[in-house]
Amino acid sequence: MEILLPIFIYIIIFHHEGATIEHGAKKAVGISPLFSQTKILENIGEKWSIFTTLFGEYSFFEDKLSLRLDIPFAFVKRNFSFLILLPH
Amino acid sequence: MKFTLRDLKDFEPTFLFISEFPTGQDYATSGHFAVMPGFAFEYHIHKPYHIHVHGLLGSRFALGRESHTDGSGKENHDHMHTLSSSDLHSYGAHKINYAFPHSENEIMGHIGVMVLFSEIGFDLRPSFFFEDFKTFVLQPQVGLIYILELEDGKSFNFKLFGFWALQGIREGKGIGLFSYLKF
Repeated sequence: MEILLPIFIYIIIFHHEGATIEHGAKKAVGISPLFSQTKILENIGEKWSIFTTLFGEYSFFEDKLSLRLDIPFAFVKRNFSFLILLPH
Repeated sequence: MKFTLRDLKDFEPTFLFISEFPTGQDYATSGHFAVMPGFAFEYHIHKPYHIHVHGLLGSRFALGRESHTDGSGKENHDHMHTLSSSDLHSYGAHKINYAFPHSENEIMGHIGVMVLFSEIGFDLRPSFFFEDFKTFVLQPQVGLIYILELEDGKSFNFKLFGFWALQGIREGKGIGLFSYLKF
């Protein structure tokens, strides 16, 4: 059995434009929830999903290099998704 | 009206290397590891208002073996053959993750502008995606920004935004709230 346990998204960025509103690499902690209604959800009879990410960001080297750590999870109706278990 | 422009030397394209693990264990979610290399740029005009012109040209490449489940929750181990022909014809791309759908390999980008009037601002970001290098998708996005200044240079930052993917695997609408404490 192959088990994948993706817990974090890690993003190593050089001045990542989408990291903060100011676009500069800063120290920050935050949350980014997203409600989506996509056509593909019709395949399973659902209309909405929520995709949420907790993240932290830290910059060093005079704001030229930053490290961002994301913890994502998602809901499709009452189905909570966080870890992935992939038996093979 | 007088603008003060930054030196052109500040116009610095930057290289992004982003990795991601998606979430999910049901539906058409998948286990995959992806790298998302790309280039970003921004240009600043800070008078009379705080204006950023920003852009991104990036890509997503899923790595490794993947496994998908179908709508019934029944698992399929070879996702390349799990989609019906109608799915492929409809979307022209391999679907990944119902919670936040995207294709397996794609190119993405945008050119946008952000304007801040003191603590309030807006951001316009027409984005595009080239899903699985087959389907071209436009996704306009608009956001409202509010910055609450705190003591000692700290601030709460909020961005309420909506987007609308007009076609493709990610066709649909979304509302997001991007908020963080800067310190």
